[in-house]
Amino acid sequence: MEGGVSRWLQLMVSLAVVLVWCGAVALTLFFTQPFTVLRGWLLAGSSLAAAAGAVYAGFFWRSCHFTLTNQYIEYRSGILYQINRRIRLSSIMAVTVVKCPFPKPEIASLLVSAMGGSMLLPLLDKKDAEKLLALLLPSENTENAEKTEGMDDAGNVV
Amino acid sequence: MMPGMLSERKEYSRQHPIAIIDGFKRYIALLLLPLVRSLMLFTGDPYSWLRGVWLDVLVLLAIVAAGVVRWMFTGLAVGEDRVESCSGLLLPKKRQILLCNISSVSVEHTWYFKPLRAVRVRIETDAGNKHTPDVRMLLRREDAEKLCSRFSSQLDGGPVMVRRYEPRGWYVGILSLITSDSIGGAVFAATLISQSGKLLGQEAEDRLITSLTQLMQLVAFWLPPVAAVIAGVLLGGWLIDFVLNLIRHLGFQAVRRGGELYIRCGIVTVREYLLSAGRVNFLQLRQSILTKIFGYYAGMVSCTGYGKEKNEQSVLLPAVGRDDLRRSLSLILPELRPAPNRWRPPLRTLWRTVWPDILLCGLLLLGWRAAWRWLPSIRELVVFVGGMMVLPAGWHLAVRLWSFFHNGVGQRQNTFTFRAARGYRLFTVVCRADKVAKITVTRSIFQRKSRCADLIVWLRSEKHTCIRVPNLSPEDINAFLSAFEEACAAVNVLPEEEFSDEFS
Repeated sequence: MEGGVSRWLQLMVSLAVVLVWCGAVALTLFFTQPFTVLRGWLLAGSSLAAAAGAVYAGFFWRSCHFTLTNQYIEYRSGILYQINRRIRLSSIMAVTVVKCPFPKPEIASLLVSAMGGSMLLPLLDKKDAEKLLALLLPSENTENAEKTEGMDDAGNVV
Repeated sequence: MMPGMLSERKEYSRQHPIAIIDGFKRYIALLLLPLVRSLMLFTGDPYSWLRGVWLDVLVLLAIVAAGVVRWMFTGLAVGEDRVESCSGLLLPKKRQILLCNISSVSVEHTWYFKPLRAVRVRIETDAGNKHTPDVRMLLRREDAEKLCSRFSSQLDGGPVMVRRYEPRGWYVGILSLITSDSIGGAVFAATLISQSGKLLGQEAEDRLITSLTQLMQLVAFWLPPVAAVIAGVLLGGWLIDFVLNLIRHLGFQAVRRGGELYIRCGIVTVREYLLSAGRVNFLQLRQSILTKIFGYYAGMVSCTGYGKEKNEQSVLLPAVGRDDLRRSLSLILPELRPAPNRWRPPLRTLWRTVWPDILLCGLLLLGWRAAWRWLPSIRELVVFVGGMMVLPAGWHLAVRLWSFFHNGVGQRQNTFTFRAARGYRLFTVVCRADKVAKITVTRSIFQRKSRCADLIVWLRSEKHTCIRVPNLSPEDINAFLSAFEEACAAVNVLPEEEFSDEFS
């Protein structure tokens, strides 16, 4: 199974960029004199950086991608700084579903807890999240555990 | 039913209502005490009283309301094959854990919750934070029993023989003797004194400290006063820790039912632990020189979640003699039985083991003699300080000498036994090949000349655990590594080996 994160990730990153830009503009207006070259440069520079950030958000959203195979689950993200996390399915101990009312309730994040670390799959669509949850923690795991962790007749773990 | 969850078909059991207060009990004293004091000054006019304390009342109500809301949106559902916990209102979180992935379930019957039938439950897996449990709740006793019975039925795998181990009471005393330390008791006493000062006033605290000082002066005898205070603090601290450990571990019993290991201890606050035997990482046997002379071991077991809380120890065998050890282990943990040493340090490395301690003892004795001769005015202090320094050094030398004959590596099928010493204690660790996380072999330039190396084995556990078997010969290490690879192949695990240099 493969998939990407919800478009809301791009919107939230863009929103964060806009908020930072607003803060930078406010600081510029507060600390610099009106109609000066410095103010002009600072405003232009921060606006350019914000625009670049908003464009980067789109590309960043496209780079966020998860893959689920029979052996592992993998999550890739980032363009300038790429992160690739892979967890073996047999190492997964627990999965936490985190729902945020903002931007909307049909978005959920999955936190996959495994031996040695964890992985966050942010802002997935509800259907993707439910499908992943069913595949990461299937009921068949109980049978597999009994097969690999056998017991002898006295009840000792072999 | 809990609203707002992904799947709304599950029936969640809420925590016990007392959890509302338990969530903010640390801060409640800060608010309630001023409120109670102001109540004592109540003159009969509620309006004027409220005008003085309205902010305290408002904050208290807000805290209680937040506690109620948190309680309403926290719950636990136990399914056929999994456990689900939910929490949070603004950011609802739902955690799913398969029963087969659970390492341990702990149930604590705290004495002040017993009348309310509330118990603290902790669920642990091999994942998650090493400081906090995966799930921690204050549940009704019935809900906790339901969780435990579902977990047990998953581990038992059908009808099996039940094997029980109950040590004698004085064995628990020996465990407390071995594991008590002065610092823990001193910290406890210091906290008690300072908290009593906060509650009862500065005068009460000063009076307590004065009484303790007078007691120290009374029992000082021929000791200098400073030394008497230090000795009193250390001895008093150790005594307090000993008593606390004793209370904590009295009534100890361990029961083995199939794949489940059930441990129960404590008389005032009863603690029950259900461990998955297959998820036990290793068994650790501890000895000091004294207990080695008398032939006693203290057995600890490493399993995620067991022995994790503050002042908690992961005890399996409080104290057991050499003959009883094999019998007790075959009863409750037959998978991990110690094997005799197959590879041990050669005799030529004996001097390497003991020369630092011999040098230290020699220097201390010379310094002591010199100080006694050239500082006649403070001979009494010199005798005391010198004795305090030479005795531990001599004891450490004895431990190092004994450890030379104790150290080594043994094997029994797919389990390995590692023996080493650290500080003043001798350790024996038994684990399966698949529970070894990493093996490192290190050799200094001096060890190259002596043709020996140190074997460091890192074990899989929540805490940073490793055991260092020093001064093994290269042939023995190679033989061990080959045997280890074969054992890993038998349990289908690929080992990770790291060498500090080219090893031949």
